[in-house]
Amino acid sequence: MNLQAGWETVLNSPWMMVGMTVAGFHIGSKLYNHFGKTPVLHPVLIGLAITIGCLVTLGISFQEYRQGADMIYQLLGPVTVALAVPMYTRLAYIRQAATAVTVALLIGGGLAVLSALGFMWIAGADAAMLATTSTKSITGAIAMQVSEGIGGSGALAAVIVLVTGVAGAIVAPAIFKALKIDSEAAQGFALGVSAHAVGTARSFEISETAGAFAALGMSLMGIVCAILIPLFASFF
Amino acid sequence: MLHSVLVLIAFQLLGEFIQASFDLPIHGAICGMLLLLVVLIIRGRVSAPLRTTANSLFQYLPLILIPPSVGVMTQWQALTAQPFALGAVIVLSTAIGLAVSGFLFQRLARKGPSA
Repeated sequence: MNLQAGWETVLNSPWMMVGMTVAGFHIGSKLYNHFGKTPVLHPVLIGLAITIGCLVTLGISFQEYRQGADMIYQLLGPVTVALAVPMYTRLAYIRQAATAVTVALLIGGGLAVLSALGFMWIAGADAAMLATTSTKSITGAIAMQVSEGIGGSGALAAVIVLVTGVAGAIVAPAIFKALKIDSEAAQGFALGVSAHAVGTARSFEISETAGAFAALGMSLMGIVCAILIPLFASFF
Repeated sequence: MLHSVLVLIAFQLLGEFIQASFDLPIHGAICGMLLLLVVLIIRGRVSAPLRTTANSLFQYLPLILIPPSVGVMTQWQALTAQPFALGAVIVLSTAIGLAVSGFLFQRLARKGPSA
């Protein structure tokens, strides 16, 4: 009997990588639901921390993990393609407030991206970091792939996107109160445009209307950024 | 179900084809997503199986996001070099986005006839 050999095999098995990822996400989801869906305990954030914790403890490198977890990794493509379905459905809501939607999206969403880029530029960030930051307000799946397409880091984009979503969901109530933004549609739209999926989840807690407009804002922001960011990036 | 999965794979491949052929700075999947969106807009409807397949996939979207995000462990320096500055930039720019988009939406939607 050679327990050492058995342990080595398990450590190198792709199912070890898949297993720790699924377990991390499962624990993250349980915690998130248990503590009343507070954005700080976002399941991806917890799952990510648990997975990285396991890798560091077991001494597995990212390259080994990446190879093993490839079967999950590859699914990102078709799932991203599938995002077109909810996007199409939400476009119908535009008719209810076309001007408001267009102006709030372009100016509000535009300022969110440009201000982040401006601050990062002042802080002395390099081109790759700026490319990564430009995707901060888009939903994770799209942000990651847009960032990689223009020379940024997909992984870093994913983390920045998560922090953006969590921060947005937390500061939103104070901002809405200060500026007297009391319309549910406006609150939802702002959350969707600025804090993507995390903001959208938050909006559904406000009301169905807020959630619908958040989903619309998130979708439009995703579409516009997926087209405009690579376009602008190609000039630099 | 299987038919809808094939539709998604077909658009993924079409996206990859266009991305590579025109050397676009957009990922193949994003290309495929935009193409599918255009096709849906032209057709004017989504088939029920495609909607069901998409929704069942979205249940696992957060899980699927974890493996690519784990790459951040190799970029620890970029994150921790100036954690305070990075955090401040994110919070501040997100707050600006929330304030401006929310304020403009409320103003303009109230003036509009249908809102």
